[in-house]
Amino acid sequence: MLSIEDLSAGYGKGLALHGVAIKVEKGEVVVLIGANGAGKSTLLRTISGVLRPKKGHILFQGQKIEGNKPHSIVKIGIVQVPEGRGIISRMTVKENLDMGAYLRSDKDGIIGDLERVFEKFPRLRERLGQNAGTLSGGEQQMLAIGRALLAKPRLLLMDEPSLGLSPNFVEFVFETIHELREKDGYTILLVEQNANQALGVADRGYVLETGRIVLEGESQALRDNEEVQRAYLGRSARTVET
Amino acid sequence: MILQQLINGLMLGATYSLVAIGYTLIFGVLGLLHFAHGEVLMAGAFMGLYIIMWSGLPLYITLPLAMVATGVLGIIIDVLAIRPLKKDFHLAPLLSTIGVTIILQNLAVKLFGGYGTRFPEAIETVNYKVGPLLISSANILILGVSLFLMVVLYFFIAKTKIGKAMRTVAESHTTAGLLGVNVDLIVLLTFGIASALAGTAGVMIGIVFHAITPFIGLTFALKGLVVMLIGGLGNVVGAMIGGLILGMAEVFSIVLLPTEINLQDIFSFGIMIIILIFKPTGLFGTRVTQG
Ligand SMILES: Nc1ncnc2c1ncn2[C@@H]1O[C@H](COP(=O)(O)OP(=O)(O)OP(=O)(O)O)[C@@H](O)[C@H]1O
Ligand SMILES: [Mg+2]
Repeated sequence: MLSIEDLSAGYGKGLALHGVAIKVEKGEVVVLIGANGAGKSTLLRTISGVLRPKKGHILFQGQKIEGNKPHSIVKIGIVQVPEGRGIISRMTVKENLDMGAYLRSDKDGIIGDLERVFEKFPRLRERLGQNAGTLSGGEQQMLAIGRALLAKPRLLLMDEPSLGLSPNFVEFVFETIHELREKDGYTILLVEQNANQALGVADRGYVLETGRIVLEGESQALRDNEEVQRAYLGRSARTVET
Repeated sequence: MILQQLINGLMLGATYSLVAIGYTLIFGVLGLLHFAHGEVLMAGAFMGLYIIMWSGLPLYITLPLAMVATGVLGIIIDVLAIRPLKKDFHLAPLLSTIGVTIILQNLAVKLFGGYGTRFPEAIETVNYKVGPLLISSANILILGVSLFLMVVLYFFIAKTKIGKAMRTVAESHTTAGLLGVNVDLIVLLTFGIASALAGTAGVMIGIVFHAITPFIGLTFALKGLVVMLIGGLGNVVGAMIGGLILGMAEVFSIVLLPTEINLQDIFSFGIMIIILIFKPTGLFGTRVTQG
């Protein structure tokens, strides 16, 4: 479904990604793990068109999409839940959800999808009229995910959805991802530092180090890998409620 | 007497509001102080003047035409002078709009001369006596049109899909893009709307003062700026109310203070400095209209 070949990208003159190649097949959850500054967000930003690649190709369902603007990437079905959630804090929860369906005009479809989002995240229904900036970190993450689902993603990109959440919410986020795949059949490319839990919900994974893919494989194989255990599974997750 | 001044103040303030809304919209979506906004107003006034003179059509047709023409000018400025700039040099857009200011002003002097140009009688001047008050048809027109435009704009921003997209762009270009918003298009539209409002203000100034010069931009640009600061950067409703407040404050300062010294401008910029010192986010806070 998504196939990235020899991708290099960065900021200004410097490169943050060097010849990255990854693949995501339909129905898969693929996780990208890597330390701070490894280039995980840069990769997702480049896929979403926020950054232009310096070199290489991004193919989605056989079509080249590198260099396209973010809004046309959303249009073809690649939707990102960005790092830090990207909540529009000066809008209400309802308006944030409306913005998720920005490119859609099928009113009935939107209403149906909104109901499904409320089933997953009942708290959002209670907070509809509230300013999104006043939500807790965990609620904001629900809103960010719900909003992305309203865009009808064919491929969902998630950038550290568990970052900065309390342990309960971290648990909930991973359950949600599991359910999105098992029950709803979404295809997901997940970026995480919470390697243990992320590998728990993913089929496959890639390890990114200073802009290069250094390791890839089935989730179980990565979990058993000594390198991975030492570098990414040894330490506890960052768990601070914001 | 007081009531009469109130009406005059509201009228003056309404034009300030229109200018300030434009500033604040552009500041909202681009974080840019659009220095040439006053010259856009001036250009709008001249375009309105010629549209009225050449077409001879009534104002309810010529004013919208002047708005569209000024809107297009704003869009051209965005496309030629702002969009091509590299994003990593912060001062570039400001410097570029200062350049646009100078270009527009010099062009206007070349085309229309540096002196006042008589503004055609766009509407019949009738003075209505309401009790002790004297209200001119121009007053009614200006207040009516400004308030109408402000109400329409408010609902546009608060309730429509495009209005929500504008607010999203104002919050973050990246987030807006990731939600499927064509950010460049929204910025373009914002320039169009802001400039059309400035054009409206320009035509109204022509109607009230009966003459315009290539230099009217600066005064109104500065007043618009004061109002934007009073209302809070990027706050559309703040700009609306702020304009009316400043207009009335100015008129009262003329009434209450000796006429030999023109304290009007000292007064408004005094207010601006005081607000900058004590409440830099403006009286109404920094935000774009809430829905
Ligand atoms: N806006 C930017 N401008 C310049 N350099 C940047 C920018 N964003 C990131 N970088 C640099 O690019 C490299 C990769 O950053 P990136 O944000 O992709 O890392 P990451 O893997 O997502 O890290 P984290 O886990 O902290 O989110 C880092 O060296 C970083 O300093
Ligand atoms: Mg990151």
